[in-house]
Amino acid sequence: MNRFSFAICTTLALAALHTSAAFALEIQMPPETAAYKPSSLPGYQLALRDCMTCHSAHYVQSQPSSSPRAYWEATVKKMKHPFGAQFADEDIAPIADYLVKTYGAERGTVSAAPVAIKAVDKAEVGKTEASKPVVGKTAVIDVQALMTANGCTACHAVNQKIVGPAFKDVAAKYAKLPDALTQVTHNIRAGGVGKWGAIPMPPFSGLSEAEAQALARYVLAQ
Amino acid sequence: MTKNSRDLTSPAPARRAFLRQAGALGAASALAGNSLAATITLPFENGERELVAYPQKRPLILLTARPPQLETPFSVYNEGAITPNDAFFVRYHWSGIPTSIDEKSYRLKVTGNVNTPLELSLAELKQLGEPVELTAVNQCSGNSRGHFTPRANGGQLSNGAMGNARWVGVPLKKVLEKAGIKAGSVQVSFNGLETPPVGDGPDFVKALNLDHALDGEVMLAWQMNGADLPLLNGYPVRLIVPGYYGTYWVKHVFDIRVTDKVFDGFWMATGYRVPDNACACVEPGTPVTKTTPISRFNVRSFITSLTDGMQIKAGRETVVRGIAFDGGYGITEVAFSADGGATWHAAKLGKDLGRYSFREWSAAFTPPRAGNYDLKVRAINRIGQSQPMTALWNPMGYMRNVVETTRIVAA
Repeated sequence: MNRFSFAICTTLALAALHTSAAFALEIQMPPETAAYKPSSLPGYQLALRDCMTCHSAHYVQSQPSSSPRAYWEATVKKMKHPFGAQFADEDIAPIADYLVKTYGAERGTVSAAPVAIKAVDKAEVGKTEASKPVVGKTAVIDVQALMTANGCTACHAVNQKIVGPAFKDVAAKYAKLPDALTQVTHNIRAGGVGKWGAIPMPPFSGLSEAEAQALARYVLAQ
Repeated sequence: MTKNSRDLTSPAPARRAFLRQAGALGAASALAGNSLAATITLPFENGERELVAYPQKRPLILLTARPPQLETPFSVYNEGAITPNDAFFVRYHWSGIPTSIDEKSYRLKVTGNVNTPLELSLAELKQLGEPVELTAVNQCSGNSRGHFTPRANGGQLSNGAMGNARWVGVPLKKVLEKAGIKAGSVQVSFNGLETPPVGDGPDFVKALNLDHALDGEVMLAWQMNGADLPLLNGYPVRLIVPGYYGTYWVKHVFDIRVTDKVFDGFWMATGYRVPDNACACVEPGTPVTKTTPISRFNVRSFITSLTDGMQIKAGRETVVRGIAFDGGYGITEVAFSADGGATWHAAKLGKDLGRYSFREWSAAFTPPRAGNYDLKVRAINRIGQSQPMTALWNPMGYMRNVVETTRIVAA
């Protein structure tokens, strides 16, 4: 299976045997920019973790939007078996649910469009599924709730790199910049690629400026 | 770029410098592709795509980035019968693909039911016999899947997952004869440097029946249109299976095995199978009961000089041009209709580049009056096979070959 490391060993062995240096044709792929649509559905975070490991979001995005639930369920199952994806059986149903409601035949059945979850007044929680943002000055932004709702922790941890950089590393990188808060706030809402590697961070444009800033302040405090 | 890669006599430092440059070029073209943010809308629901320049490629229609799947913009087919290397479509299955291949350490292994297992360097492979050249179309099984009605899931391609190139290599037969095939052999399997990224997913391995593998036409090719294969098209060696769908044209092939039974890997036993009947089709929307591995292309033809919505002058002659091809019997006749298929006229065939190649054709057409015209084209091959007026359907979205219609306006 692991022919690449075999190839490297072969190369080294040959380099040792022959005086001529090995030649290789090398290419560098363009950055990957496709991202899953943020959603409050639990399958969104699972898709970021389980699906992004092996392929770009294009596979999902380009299917006909008439694709029914049976298609998405069968496809997610196929990814685990026989295709070998490393996720739990329990992830299959929520991922398929997120996919059919975001990209397939059940689009629009959750809310008008999958959006980043807003900070909500605690009293309003549970009243409505499509949570409306609280724009009043007194609204308290619960950073932990925002992080959970937007799936930040699927890719980020405080102390270690997962898919994306550790919050501590982000804080260190931006510590000395006078406009750190503005930059990190912008990066959360706009997404990006290339600052920390080839795996893109999806844009969280559904977050308000205040919410993104609260998240940025939290990250920079680590 | 690829010319330099063949120059193995240049001193090592120069080659290293070249490598760095190649990397930088790759990055630069990538940036250009993205900063332009060019997009194209393919003619079916959810058909918006980016045009992105991958290494050794001009901006192509991006179906998926990881693994890369790139479709040729249709206008390329109007530039000539040969598809340039930098415009040739790309299709992978697994995201474990090579991005660096060392030509000197590359080895082609031939094992299994043979008298003498082989391990050939690229130089040894090239010296096995006089290189042969063949012009042949490679077409993805799912080319045009996006046009299926009802829609079929899978790679949502328009008509750009096909290309025609001059391939240079050595007949597979020579290699197999050198290894010596033992009695009782049934098939030959082919593995390339494309692997599942995690877990125990089925490696991409394809197989041909022994008589097919020994037909003298199936080829191990290292050159395409006079240059090394682009990496994304299978550098340094890929299998060429003339007239057969691209799924068999294994890229970066390094492991050939002669088997004493029918190879039963996923990509033969489960994937890339079509309804086991003459049309490879079923009633739209119905399931398939019995299947067989996909094999030869059916007949196809396209108008390339005009696309939907284009305007031409009423009362003045326009020469309509296009291409036709089939699974290797050769195109013998192309018919053109300017009235939606009510009447047909013979088109003039272009130069014959061989029975596996695109065949260019042209037809003069003078719209008698202003208005809308439905142009159609239909090809016939040497054994009388042609194209259906109504699209055939299967749930896999394979083998579309309906008589295409181009709707234009004369004014």
